[in-house]
Amino acid sequence: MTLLIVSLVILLIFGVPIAYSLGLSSFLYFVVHHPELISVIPQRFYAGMDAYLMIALPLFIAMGCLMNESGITRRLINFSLLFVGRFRGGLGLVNIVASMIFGGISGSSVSDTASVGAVLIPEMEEKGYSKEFSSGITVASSTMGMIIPPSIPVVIYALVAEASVGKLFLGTAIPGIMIGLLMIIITLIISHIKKHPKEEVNLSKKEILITVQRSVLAVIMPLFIIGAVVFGITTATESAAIGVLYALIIGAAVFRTVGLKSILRLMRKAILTSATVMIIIALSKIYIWILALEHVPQMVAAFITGLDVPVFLIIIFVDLIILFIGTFIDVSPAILLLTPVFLPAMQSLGVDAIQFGAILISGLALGLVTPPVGMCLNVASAISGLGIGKIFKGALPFLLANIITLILISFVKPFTLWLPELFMK
Amino acid sequence: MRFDTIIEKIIAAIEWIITFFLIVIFSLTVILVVLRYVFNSSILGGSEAVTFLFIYTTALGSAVAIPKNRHIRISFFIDLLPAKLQVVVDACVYVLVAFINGAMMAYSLGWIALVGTDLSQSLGIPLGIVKASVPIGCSLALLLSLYAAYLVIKTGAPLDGEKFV
Repeated sequence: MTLLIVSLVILLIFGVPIAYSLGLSSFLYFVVHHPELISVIPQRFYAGMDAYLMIALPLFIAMGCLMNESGITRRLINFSLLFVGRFRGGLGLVNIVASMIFGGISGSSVSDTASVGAVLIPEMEEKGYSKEFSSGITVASSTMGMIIPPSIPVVIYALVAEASVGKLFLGTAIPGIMIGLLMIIITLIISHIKKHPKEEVNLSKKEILITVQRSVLAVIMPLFIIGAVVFGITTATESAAIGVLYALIIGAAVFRTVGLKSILRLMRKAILTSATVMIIIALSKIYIWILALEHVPQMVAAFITGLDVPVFLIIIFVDLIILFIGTFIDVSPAILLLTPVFLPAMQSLGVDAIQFGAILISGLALGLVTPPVGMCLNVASAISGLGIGKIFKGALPFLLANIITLILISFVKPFTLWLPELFMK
Repeated sequence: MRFDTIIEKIIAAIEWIITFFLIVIFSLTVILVVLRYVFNSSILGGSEAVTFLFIYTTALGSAVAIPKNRHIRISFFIDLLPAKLQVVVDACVYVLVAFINGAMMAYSLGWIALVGTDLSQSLGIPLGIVKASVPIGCSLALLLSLYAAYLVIKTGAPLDGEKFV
C-alpha cells in the first residue's frame, strides 16, 4: 500500500502525466506484491474506457466550444449588462452574471476564464478597475463554471460514485447559484468602498429587445439540457449530443459565425481534450481496483467513524483534505481518487452521495484559482499579464463566497438535496 | 521521407480519424434520439457502436496527446529545476510513459487471446476487435512517447507541443 501511494506522489512530483503516474504506480504494485494479478491491468484499463455515460464528455466540450466560437461571450456580457450594469461596480457584476450563464453553457471553469476574461479584463481596466480586481473577480467567478449544471466534473463524479446525473445536476444548481449571489453581494460591498463606476445602460425598449433576442437562445440552452436529463427524456449522453446539435444550429444557421472549418477544428479539440481525461479515468480504474483489493475505502471509513470526535469536525476535516488536494491535483483525477476513498466513509456518517458530490466539486473548484497550479490563474495571467500571486490576492475576497457555500452544503442537506427530492423522487 | 515527417503524418491522420469518429458518435446519438421519439424505432446495436467508437477515440487520442504535450500533469515542481535538469527529467518522463504503454500492450495481447472471440451483445461482433484498441493505442503511445523523448534530447529543451497543433 505504501509503495502504491509513495510511488504515485513521486511520479506526480516529477511531472509524469497523471494518467501514466497512476498506471506506473499500479504496475509497480502488481510487480512487487501481486505478480499473479498483473493481467488485471489491461482488463481494468479497458473497463475504464468502456463507459457509455462518458461519451457525454467530448460532446459537452464540443458544445461549449461551439457556443463560444459563435460569439456568445459578447452577447452574454451585453445581456448581463442590462440587468446589473447600472449598479456600482457594474462591470464586476456583469463578470459574475456572465460567468453564471457561461458556466451553464460550457461546463468548464477554464474556458469561462478564457472567454469572459479575454473580453472583460481589458474592458474593466479601461474603465478604471485595478488589474488585480478585474483578474481576481474573473477567476473567482469562473469557479461556478464547473459547479453550475450541466458540468463536466459532475458527469465524471456520477460515473465513479454510480450516482444519478440528473440528481447531481439538480444538487449542484443551488450551490452554484448561491456562490454567484454571494459574489454579487461581495462585489457590491467592495465597489461601494472603492467607488467603482456604474455603467450607462440607457437603451431604448427596441435595443433591449434586440439584446435579449440575441442572447436568449444561449441562455435557455442549459435549462433544456438539464430538463431533458432530469425528466428522463434523454440520457446525459443524448442530452449532450442534442446540445451539440443546438449549438451547431445557433452557430451556423442563426448567428452564422461558425463554418465547416471551425466545426472540424473544434470537434478535433473536443475529442483530444476528452481523450486526455478519459485516459486518466481508464488508468485510475486499475489504481481504484487496487485500493479496493487493499480494503482502503473500508479502512478509511472504519478510521473516520471510529474517531471519537463530533461528526461536524470530521466533515470539516474531509473538506480541508479536498481543498488541499485540489490545490495540487487537477479536478478530474482528484474526483477519481477521492470519491472511492471518501464516499463510503461520508455515507456512513449520513452524507448522501449527491451531497458529497456537491461538496467535492465545490471544494475542488477552489483549486483552480489557488497557487501553485491553479489552471484559471494561469489563463488569467496570460490575459492580464499579472503574476498569479497578485491575481490570487485579487480573487481572495470573492472566494469567501465559495467557502461559505462549501460550509453550508457540508452541513445543511436541503441545499443539495431539496431540488433532487422535489423533481426526482 | 524523413522520420519526423512520417510521425507528423501519422499524428495528423489519427487526429482526423478520431475527429471523424466523434462526428459519427454525435450523429448516431442524435439519430437514435430522433428515431426513438419520432418514429418509435431504433437502430439495433446503435448505442454499442457509439461506445466502441468512443473506446477507440480514447485509445488513439491519448496516444496522439503525448507529443502534443496535452496530458494533464503537475509541472510546478519541474519548473523550479534548472533548465538542463528539466530536459533530463522530461526525457525520463517520456521513457516512463513509453514503458507503461509497452507493458500494457504486452499484457493486453494475452488477455485478448483469451476473451477476444466473445461476441458483443447487440452487434454480435467479436469483442477482440474492440479490445484491440488497447494494444493498438498503447503501441502508438509507445512509439510517440519514444519520439517525444527523442525530440527532447535532440532539441535540448522541454517538448514544444505547439509543433503538432
